[in-house]
Amino acid sequence: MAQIMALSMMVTALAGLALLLTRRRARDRWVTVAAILALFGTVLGIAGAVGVEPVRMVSYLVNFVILAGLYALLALGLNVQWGYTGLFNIGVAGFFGLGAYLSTILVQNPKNLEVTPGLAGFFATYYNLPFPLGLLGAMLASGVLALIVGVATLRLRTDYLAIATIGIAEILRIIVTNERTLTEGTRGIPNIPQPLYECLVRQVVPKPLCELLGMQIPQFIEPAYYNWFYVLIVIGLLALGLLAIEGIARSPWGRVLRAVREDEEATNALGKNVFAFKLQSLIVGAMIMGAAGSLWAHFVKFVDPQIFDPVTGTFLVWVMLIVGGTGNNRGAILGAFIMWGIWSATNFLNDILPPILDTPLGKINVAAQLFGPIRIISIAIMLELILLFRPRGLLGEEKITSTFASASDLKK
Amino acid sequence: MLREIDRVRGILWSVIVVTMGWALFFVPDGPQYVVNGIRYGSILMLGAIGLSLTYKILNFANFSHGEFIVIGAFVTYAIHGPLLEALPQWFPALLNLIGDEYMRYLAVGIGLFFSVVVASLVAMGIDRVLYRRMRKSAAVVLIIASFGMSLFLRSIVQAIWGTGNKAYAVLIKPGTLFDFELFRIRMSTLEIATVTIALLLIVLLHLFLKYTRTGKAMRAMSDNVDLARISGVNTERMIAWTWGIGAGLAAIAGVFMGLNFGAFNPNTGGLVLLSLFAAVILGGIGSPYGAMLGGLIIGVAQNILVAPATSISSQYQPAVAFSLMIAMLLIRPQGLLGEAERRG
Amino acid sequence: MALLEVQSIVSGYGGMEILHGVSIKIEPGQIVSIIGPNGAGKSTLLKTVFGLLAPKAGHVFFDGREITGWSPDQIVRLGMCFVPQTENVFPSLTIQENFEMGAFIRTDDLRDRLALVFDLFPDLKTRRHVKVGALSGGQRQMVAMGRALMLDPKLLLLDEPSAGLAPKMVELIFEKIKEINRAGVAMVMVEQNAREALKFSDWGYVLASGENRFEDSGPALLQNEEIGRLYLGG
Repeated sequence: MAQIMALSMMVTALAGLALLLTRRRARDRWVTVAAILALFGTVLGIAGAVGVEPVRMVSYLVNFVILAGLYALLALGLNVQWGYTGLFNIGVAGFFGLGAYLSTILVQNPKNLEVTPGLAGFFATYYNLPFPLGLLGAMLASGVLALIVGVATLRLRTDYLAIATIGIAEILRIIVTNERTLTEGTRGIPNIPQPLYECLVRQVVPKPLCELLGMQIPQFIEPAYYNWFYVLIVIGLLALGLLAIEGIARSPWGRVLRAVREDEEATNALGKNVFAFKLQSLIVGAMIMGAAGSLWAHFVKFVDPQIFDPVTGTFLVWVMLIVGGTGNNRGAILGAFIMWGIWSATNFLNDILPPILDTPLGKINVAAQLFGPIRIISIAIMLELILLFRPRGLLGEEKITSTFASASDLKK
Repeated sequence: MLREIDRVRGILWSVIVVTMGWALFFVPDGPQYVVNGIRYGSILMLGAIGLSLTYKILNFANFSHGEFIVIGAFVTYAIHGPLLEALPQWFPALLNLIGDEYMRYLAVGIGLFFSVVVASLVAMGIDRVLYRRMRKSAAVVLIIASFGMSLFLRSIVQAIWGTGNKAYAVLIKPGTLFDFELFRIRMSTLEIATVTIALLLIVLLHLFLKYTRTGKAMRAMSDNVDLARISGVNTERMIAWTWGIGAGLAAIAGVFMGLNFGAFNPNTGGLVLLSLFAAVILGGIGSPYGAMLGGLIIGVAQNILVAPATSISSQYQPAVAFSLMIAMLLIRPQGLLGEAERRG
Repeated sequence: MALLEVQSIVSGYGGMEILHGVSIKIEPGQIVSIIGPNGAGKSTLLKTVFGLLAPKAGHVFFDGREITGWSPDQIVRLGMCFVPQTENVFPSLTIQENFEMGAFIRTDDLRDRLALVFDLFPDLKTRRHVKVGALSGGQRQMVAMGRALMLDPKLLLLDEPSAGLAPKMVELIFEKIKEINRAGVAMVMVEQNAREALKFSDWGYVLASGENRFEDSGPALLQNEEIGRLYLGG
């Protein structure tokens, strides 16, 4: 029963997101919603036909939507920086990882890390704060980092920002690897608590912990289906982020950002402080990335220095944004879902390919040596092809009209 | 204004000199770290030149430059293995003459030659296939393209040779002690050879840029590509030269890194890239001589600041380079030798 | 036969058409000035002739050959050189290296030609190993002209050679131009300083809004009251 409820909630949420994503023409919206529902039905149908339990299939889909949604959040953040303002951040992984680590340190309960009760298995200090504070802390930390990087480089040529951001990501990775008393080093931090887990998930001995409006909330979710709840948080925050950014884009502030991207000097001549606008855009984007990092950590329940990997943390996000269409929020989200789909679908290749390949030069362990590189090579080739032949992406830049423009203005 | 800029430059120079003096005379074992720094710096220098040349002539920061270092190290690795077995059989007399140890270095040397050729060809090939079609694109498109290219090249190296550490089959001997009363330093033949060859290459490059027709045209192009074209310079050919030289020197740097630091893996290039950028920015973008100077300063700074005396873990070497770079961007964005540049 | 003949050329930047069919003609050894208000398309004409902009229609003939749509490095080989208005030197190269760049397509010994060009600009000779970035505006202009002369061109295209220079320097540059012309080099010159330029021009074209407006010999144009009022500032 609870599963059906959660499933219907997720489908509703997805449909809601689809509504946000489509243009305002009513027919387009319903077509999109219908398409998503049909997609779901087909996937479940196929799963049923080949004998996979529908519940497991849905769980897989839920996982997929969560991860793709987090990437969509990263792509949105990058779109604010690159798509709107032309800021060149190739250290996305740095802001993302910082958010993940900071949120973990703020929210983690030291008890979760004790090897046996009372025996400390950890070096760092943890603060056991509620999840929203962790999320907020992650956003703030990434924002402050962006402020520092921005002040140092945004007055200079665009490439300096690129160099500085890639450097920041690398240095953060070195710090978390080496400072055990801060981050536990290479072994990482496991058992990260999840929002409302204790409240909602059925325990061995059920004992309602939380109250809402004087009513005790029953612990009604099976542990295996907690993610069905988490996906709602992700979709909710993604929708919130999208609405906020769309609002920004239509505001005078957003117009200045795009003006900065198109012609910095002309914008300057109009009396706008270009530096301040760039800085703000960098910070807003970084805060979104920090939020994605926080959500990531509490979903995976584990962070280690691998989170700063430039391939999964930066490169994929760039490809997503470029595939979807630079300067287009809907494109960013679409690109994230498409690319994450491709990225995770290639995981199945691992099951198909022979594990060991016999070549004249010797045995090659396909799974260990070839699979990872080939995946990156193909996506890199895809990126270069898009840059060469379709630099505007699938959707291209969206035409944005000001909230102050009247209908008659639009007709001209 | 000009005088003020000169004063900043003067202050920076004095900071460098004072730091060097402090390192030499007051840090325990300081001279040794300076020597290590010069060794590392001379290798960085080789890597940084190409980055600086392409930055100025093609007007974009090439984020795949570190991969030429990796290609150099690995191609040499692939060639020196079979040579180690073949050389003694082909030339037994040579083995008797120079002995096993130098035979091994000879194998690496031959490998180095081929790796330079391979790296240069790869660089020119990428330019031909990819960057050439983007000459009219915005610089940022080229930067993303080069970022993708760096992961592409790295993955190819991983696919062929795996992700693990590799090392050349040569014996790394501890250095001989040189005791000059004031300074006590340890240097091995390999280290002396590394610095000497690096400096020799730099001198050769200098002569090439200064006196040959192609070298002058390359400098002219880094000043003003359009005017070079108007003067009848075949700019595409010069760009190919630029890639070839830059990637070739980077490949040599890769082999030297493998020899001097024992091991390398496909991620080495990405890790060094930050130091290379720091070197280029410190010296002044677009000035090959600035890149040389910057490489030397970064190399020495990484070694004296990350030493037991300062109790900072050696893992933080890239952070030293990065901090110096940020400091330079804040104080004097055009670098030590760079000309003031229009901002925007 | 004319050295350079431009027949109703149409050209511009991207989608914007600036020249709507301009024709000019220059005989060997002549100086031709092109004058007209700002935005008339004077610089565009020179850039199109030299292959920096691709013409949309029309023909360019040089020295008996059609060179419409040729690239600059091909045109240079035929003996036509171009001195742009700005950024016309290599600042980090020395004076001599700038000159050598001008003769890049020649692979033989440059010494005689260098000596000849340095004789034309004796002030530069003593400072031949100084970086051009350290020179004054007027000296840079001379370096730019020297660079263009290195190939012993039949025709020199000069885009506003006197722009931004002190009056004394303008005089000197015009003297040099006359001297170069006496050595047999024909010149097409775009000049803001139209009055001065027309005095020693064999022929002058008046361009306005991308079209031929008027043409005559230099002195005749100076005498023409209407031209004086409309294009020479009274």
